[in-house]
Amino acid sequence: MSVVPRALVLRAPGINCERETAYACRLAGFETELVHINRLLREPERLLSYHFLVLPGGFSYGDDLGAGTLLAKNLTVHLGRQLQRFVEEGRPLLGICNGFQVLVRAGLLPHTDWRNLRQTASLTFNSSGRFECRWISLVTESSRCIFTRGIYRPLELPVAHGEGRFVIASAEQLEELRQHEQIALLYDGDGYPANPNGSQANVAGVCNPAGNVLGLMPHPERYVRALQHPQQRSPADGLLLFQNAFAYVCQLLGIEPPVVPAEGSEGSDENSRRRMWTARLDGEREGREQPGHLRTSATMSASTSGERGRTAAVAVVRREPAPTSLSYATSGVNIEAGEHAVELMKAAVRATHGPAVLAGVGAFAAAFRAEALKEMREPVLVATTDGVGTKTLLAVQMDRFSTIGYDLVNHCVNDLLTQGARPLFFMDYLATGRLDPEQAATIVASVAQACQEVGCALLGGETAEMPDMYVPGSFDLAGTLVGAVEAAERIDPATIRAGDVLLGLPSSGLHTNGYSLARRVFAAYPLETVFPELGEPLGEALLRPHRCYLSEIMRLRAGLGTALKGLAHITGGGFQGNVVRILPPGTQAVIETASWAVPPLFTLIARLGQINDAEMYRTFNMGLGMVLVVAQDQVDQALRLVPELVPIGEIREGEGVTLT
Amino acid sequence: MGRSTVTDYHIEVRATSPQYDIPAQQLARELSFLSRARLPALAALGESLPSLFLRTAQLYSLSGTCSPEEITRLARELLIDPVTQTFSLLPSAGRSSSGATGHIIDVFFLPGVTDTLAESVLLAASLLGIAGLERVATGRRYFLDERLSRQDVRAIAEALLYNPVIQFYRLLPAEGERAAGSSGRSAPRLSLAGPAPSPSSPPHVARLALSEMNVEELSNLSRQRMLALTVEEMQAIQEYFRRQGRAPTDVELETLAQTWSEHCSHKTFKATVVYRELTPAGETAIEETIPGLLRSFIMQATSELARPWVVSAFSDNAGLVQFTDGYDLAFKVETHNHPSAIEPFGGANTGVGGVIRDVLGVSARPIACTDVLCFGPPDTPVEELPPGVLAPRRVASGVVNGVRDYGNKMGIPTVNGAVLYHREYLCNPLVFCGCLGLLPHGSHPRAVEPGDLVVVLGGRTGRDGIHGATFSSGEMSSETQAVAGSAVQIGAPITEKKVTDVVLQARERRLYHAITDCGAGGFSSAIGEMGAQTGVRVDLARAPLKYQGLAPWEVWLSEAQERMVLAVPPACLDELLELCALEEVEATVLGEFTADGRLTVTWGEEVVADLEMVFLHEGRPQRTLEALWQRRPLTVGSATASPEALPDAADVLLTLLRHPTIGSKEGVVRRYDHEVQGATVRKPLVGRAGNGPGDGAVLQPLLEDLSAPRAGVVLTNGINPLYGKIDPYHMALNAVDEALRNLTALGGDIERAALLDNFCWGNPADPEQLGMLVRAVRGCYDAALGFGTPFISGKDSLNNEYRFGERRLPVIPTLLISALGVIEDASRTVDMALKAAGNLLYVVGLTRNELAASHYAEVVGPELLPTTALPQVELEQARTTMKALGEAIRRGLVQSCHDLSEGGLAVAAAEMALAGLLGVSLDLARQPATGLEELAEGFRPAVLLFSESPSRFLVEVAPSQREAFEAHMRAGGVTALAALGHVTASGRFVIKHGAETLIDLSIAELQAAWKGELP
Repeated sequence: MSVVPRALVLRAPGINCERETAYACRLAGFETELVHINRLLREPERLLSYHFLVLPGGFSYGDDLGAGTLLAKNLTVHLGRQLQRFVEEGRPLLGICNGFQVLVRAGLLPHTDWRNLRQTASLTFNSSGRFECRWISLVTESSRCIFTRGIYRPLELPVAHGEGRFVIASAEQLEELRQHEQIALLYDGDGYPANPNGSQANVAGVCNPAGNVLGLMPHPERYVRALQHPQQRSPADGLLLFQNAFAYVCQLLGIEPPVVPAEGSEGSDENSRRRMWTARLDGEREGREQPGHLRTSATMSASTSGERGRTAAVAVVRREPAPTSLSYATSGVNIEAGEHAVELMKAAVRATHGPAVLAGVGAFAAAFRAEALKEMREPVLVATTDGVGTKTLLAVQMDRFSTIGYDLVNHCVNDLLTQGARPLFFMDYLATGRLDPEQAATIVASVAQACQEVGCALLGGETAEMPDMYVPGSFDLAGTLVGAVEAAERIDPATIRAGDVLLGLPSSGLHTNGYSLARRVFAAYPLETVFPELGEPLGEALLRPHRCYLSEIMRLRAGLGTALKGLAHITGGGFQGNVVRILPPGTQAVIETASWAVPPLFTLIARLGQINDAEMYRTFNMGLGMVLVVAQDQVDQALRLVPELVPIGEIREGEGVTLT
Repeated sequence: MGRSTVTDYHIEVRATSPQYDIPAQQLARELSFLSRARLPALAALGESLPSLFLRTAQLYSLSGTCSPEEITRLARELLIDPVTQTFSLLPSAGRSSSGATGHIIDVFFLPGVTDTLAESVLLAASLLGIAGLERVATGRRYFLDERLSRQDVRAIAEALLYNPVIQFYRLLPAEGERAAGSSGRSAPRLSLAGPAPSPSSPPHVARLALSEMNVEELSNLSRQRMLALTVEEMQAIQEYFRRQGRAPTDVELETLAQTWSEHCSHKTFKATVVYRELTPAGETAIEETIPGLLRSFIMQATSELARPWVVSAFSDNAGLVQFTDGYDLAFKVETHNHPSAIEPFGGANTGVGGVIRDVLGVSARPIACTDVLCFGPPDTPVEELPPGVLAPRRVASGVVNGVRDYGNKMGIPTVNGAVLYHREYLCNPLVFCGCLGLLPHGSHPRAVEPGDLVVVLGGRTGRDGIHGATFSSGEMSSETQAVAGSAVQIGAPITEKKVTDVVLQARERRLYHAITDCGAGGFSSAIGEMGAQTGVRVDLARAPLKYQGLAPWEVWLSEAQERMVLAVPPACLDELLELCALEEVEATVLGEFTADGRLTVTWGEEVVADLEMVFLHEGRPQRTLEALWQRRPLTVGSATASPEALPDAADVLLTLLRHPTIGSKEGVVRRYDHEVQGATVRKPLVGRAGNGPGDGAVLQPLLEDLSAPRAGVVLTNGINPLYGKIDPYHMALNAVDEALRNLTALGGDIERAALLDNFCWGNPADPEQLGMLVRAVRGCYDAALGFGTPFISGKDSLNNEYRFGERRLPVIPTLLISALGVIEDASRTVDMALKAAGNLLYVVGLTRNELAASHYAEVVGPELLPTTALPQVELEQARTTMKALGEAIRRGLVQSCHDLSEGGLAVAAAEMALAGLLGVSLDLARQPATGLEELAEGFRPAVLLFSESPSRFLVEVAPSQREAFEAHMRAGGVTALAALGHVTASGRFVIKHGAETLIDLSIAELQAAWKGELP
């Protein structure tokens, strides 16, 4: 690596958190130096040889004239020009506690007018009148802040200050901060002690409009190792901010972030690679729809009601090769693709949330208000778990992650439908060898979108990074769907009788089954190959998402009632393996394979792989993703309701499934 | 710029809204605590509306050749917070811009008292390029409701707003009154001209005609000059100067007084003690001569134990033990009682600053502070206080703020401590300040070489704290405040932080040969000790002063804070000075070390002191003191007491939890930053509730040292003055047991633990006081040997007595034991909060009928108790138990652990439950106990619940580890061990004795009582 990201941790008389701050910078990957302000004043240009500047906590010059006053003056009078260049080039600047006070006193936060540096906000005496040291919870706000990117779960950090009460002159200015997404961190709750100092609107940290200057009262540098937490929890929340700064600097420099050494050396350290982050799906929209009001307690609690277990990434890796020379953005900060994807993901997940989604319990579990069940006479909960198997490898090969979530969700929905149940909520699990945030965000967004389309909440999820378990580039995606149905309205296959008719619903492709075989068959063919019978690139055909039958089935249930006697979702095991699962003893399903046209993808697989029919029908859906059993006298009605339905056979007395 | 006239400016800074006027809100709160008896007008107002008008402002008086525009710019840019404050330039000092009608009280520092705010204003002006500003004074202004009477206002000022030791105040006429100069009481007028001038050059050096004086004159001289020297000592000095054939200078006499003071030479602990022990009937049982308490007991234990990891004990400013292969730890605990009694903030503040310098004085980086505070009960009515004694609430709040201010500003976490409340601390509050330091092994240089320069770093010298050493070595009285005002100072922690930064870098670069701090006795003590083996010559005229006019002896003795003295090889001087310039630390060469074995002090060319080092350090006549101890029964209570008379156990438990000594200290602890430096693994407040009382602190200070990043330090303490009222010997054993018990409960290793002692006692010239001291010191010796834990440092603060009229009020003899333990892995420790329902709760250790001097006895009254003994330590058993249990914890066999101390099992179990927010179900019938057979059946539950038998623990063990835990403990020789019950998710705290339910309370009730909420 030609350029090593360098951090400067400023020392000054009375600054006293400089050593642990430097340690945090080093843990995050920075080459870090502690430099006394008087040394910097002798050679101001030296500032520009660093990529990250931290003003640590303490009591600079004793804070007698108000916290941070003298250091702020010293910086702006003697280092103003260099600081301006540093900030305008987009280099990150972090002020912690006293450092935050300095940035505010200097007029660098919340806004910076370099021609007329003016203090517009204040960190004044705690409303308790006391210095206070305690651990508090913070929530991140949607902001342009580069330090809090990708952090969607509450953070725990210690505060220790006597003058930390954020005050801004007017309600308009506060609203402006919200409009410009400058409120990066909030104390998680109103009133003492959740908001330990009485800060206006619970503000704990603000960034500049560009997002590269952050000031916060809590001390992230005091929680960079699990042992520093009162319950010795890992991963260490404070380190995330420093890691984000590092990733961001790497991105500015166009270099790959080196692997950060993990904490300690013992087995428990998997956590340092595995980042469990809870997405905070805040009620920002509600907040924004009330112009002129900053979120008050009521909307605040609404906002925390969107917690879900969710992982996202810290480090944003630039995918295309980038020049290794310095290439600072000249103004502000680019929200590049990864960040955008994360935003999309947030919006998508949020869109799945109805009023039933309750406050999550931090990073541990999500809650769903089972209100709807109260209106049911005898609710039955139905659950199903599935994965998408090796279709993920195709997604990786195609570098397309926006549909895989549909495969997962629709697969589960179809499973649920076989009981006649409607989905309530979904939980997903994404496991990877190395987390690419952009990719992860896209995957989760697709899960969320699929959920939204079936009217189900994406309640929670988990992303695990396990480099030793998965080869680089691979991932596994699985999930659990929970739904409900009236006990009396469950589809009851026990009512299936000889004489009932089998109807099929067309599939969209392979759905999620048989990919191991299909990939072997197509191993020699590039995914761009366009076979004439397919009329589209092979990859497109293979990756086509699993079709969801929710609307069709619901329509049929409404129209047919108990005449819809059974549903078989054709997944692994094909017709024999799946239809048999709904047959009561003494009944036999006879399916005429000639009754529908097998789509060309399947015939192509059979041809290229020289696979016999029996194997094909055991492995693939052969063009029908769902098989229905309908009372004979209602078949016409069914065909009217869903013209796509194809009669494919009938129920007789006997045993098992016969293909003819 | 041409010459211009000096102009005075007066600036008043006020909050723009009452919500930002925090001092006014605090004042309102404090007013509510004041006795209405002295505030008739306020009392008459009652609860009437509108509520009392209170506002505050910051005052700046500036003087210099600056223009009004410059002053306005200074105020606008640097003296106010533009979002929450506004300012006005006042036409004169005695006016206010505010339209408020009412009373105005202005409070200023007395001349010479450290005013860091004023220094910041000067720095601010220079930053803005305002060159003409010459002097600044700052003060606080209080606007009080016009409905109050003048008398009320004075009473409020005296009770809350100012302390005559360091401040004065003036009452301003209400707005509109034109008469000038009615400036409060007989306080000095605010003067910008500095303190009253003393004769300056040539310096005034008095020569004292000692040789002519008789005994009475010698004694008078000692008293008049506050030398605190005995007649024998005065005579030794007289004799020395007779031999020299000249009269001593005041500098010499003061030097000797300081060097020979109790504070600096521990003359009581070094004195020969003639000890007599009487039987209860008054017959002599033992009579012996002890060659010195320190040598015969405390240091003797250390040398007998000969632990290889003790690097240095009793020979430096702080004790040193080995931490890892590469690092040592330094630990010191000091007292600052007298100053804290008369100026609580400044006293505690400089106490913390002083002990930090002790650690810096062994070249160590300060990494943690501890503080143990003893106050009178906070609700003591003012009317009951002896004259001259500050209200305990004021003492407590001042002391806590003083500790907070220094530790937080230095960036040193305050991680451990205790607060005790007892009536006997009303007149003699105690303040113990400790500091832990870390230094690379072998990095503390301590060999002065002739030719090395005497360099002083840090604060300037003023008339501060003069006679501190001798003051603290004498008793206090109701006049002390007036006489000894100069003995108290306010600290400047930022200055000390800068000095620390310089010293640690200088150590790295090996720029000095020796270092010591300026504590009690100032230069005299520091330089005199450093040069003891070589000789030294210093020129006091070079010392940087805060203001002119100090006599040489004042410069020499001044205890101005934040100063360190270094012995610097001439070749290193430039580098050191360059470092100091960068770090904004003043450094001055005062002289050099010589090879002549003499202390030579000059003022310019004039020699003002010339003493032989041998006489200075060894010429003090050995004292012989008399000590008397009359044996007394170790039991209280009566054989005829009836169990029926005992109050309900649940009520007693709640009362105990509400006891200020036992109850939550969250209000104090949260004001200290215990997280700074990021090394605090086990914190003072623990558990899911976030406020459980941790048994001590565990630090992991070597995060960045890859060779031993997990190495941990355990810090705990033990103190139980109530026991000392029966027998200080057992108080000492119990204090050591408690300190080590706490250490064990965290997972510490008593085989790697070292102890510090701090004695706070009455006048040792009183044979009974000394007799008690002998008992306590003997207890320390037995405990150290019994546990195998050496003492590495200590401190004695004697003469803690308050006199008014004929009454002598000695402090309750108090011994603080601080323990320091080293463990390999800080993560292998536990806290005291319950962790999970279903876990088992074990009692480890034997319970005996030991309720004498217990908190239970204090709460229910000893007259209701059966015959019951003082808690006594079975040393061998205690050591075995602690060794095995500490190891079990480090092996991961324990989920949580708490020691049983004040309030016994019941309080310990309740604290574990309220910290973990989990229920408990215990049956005392299984509790290992002994000696309860002769006790009436009905008394047993009270003993099992509340006995304070030492060396006991309550231990939470996961069911899956039950066998492993029991096997480990049995293998370690621990037999007194039983599972009494388990942790529950019920939210209830239930203790039974067989079929009988003794206590059934909710966790919420426990929390409420513990937080001091009334039922």
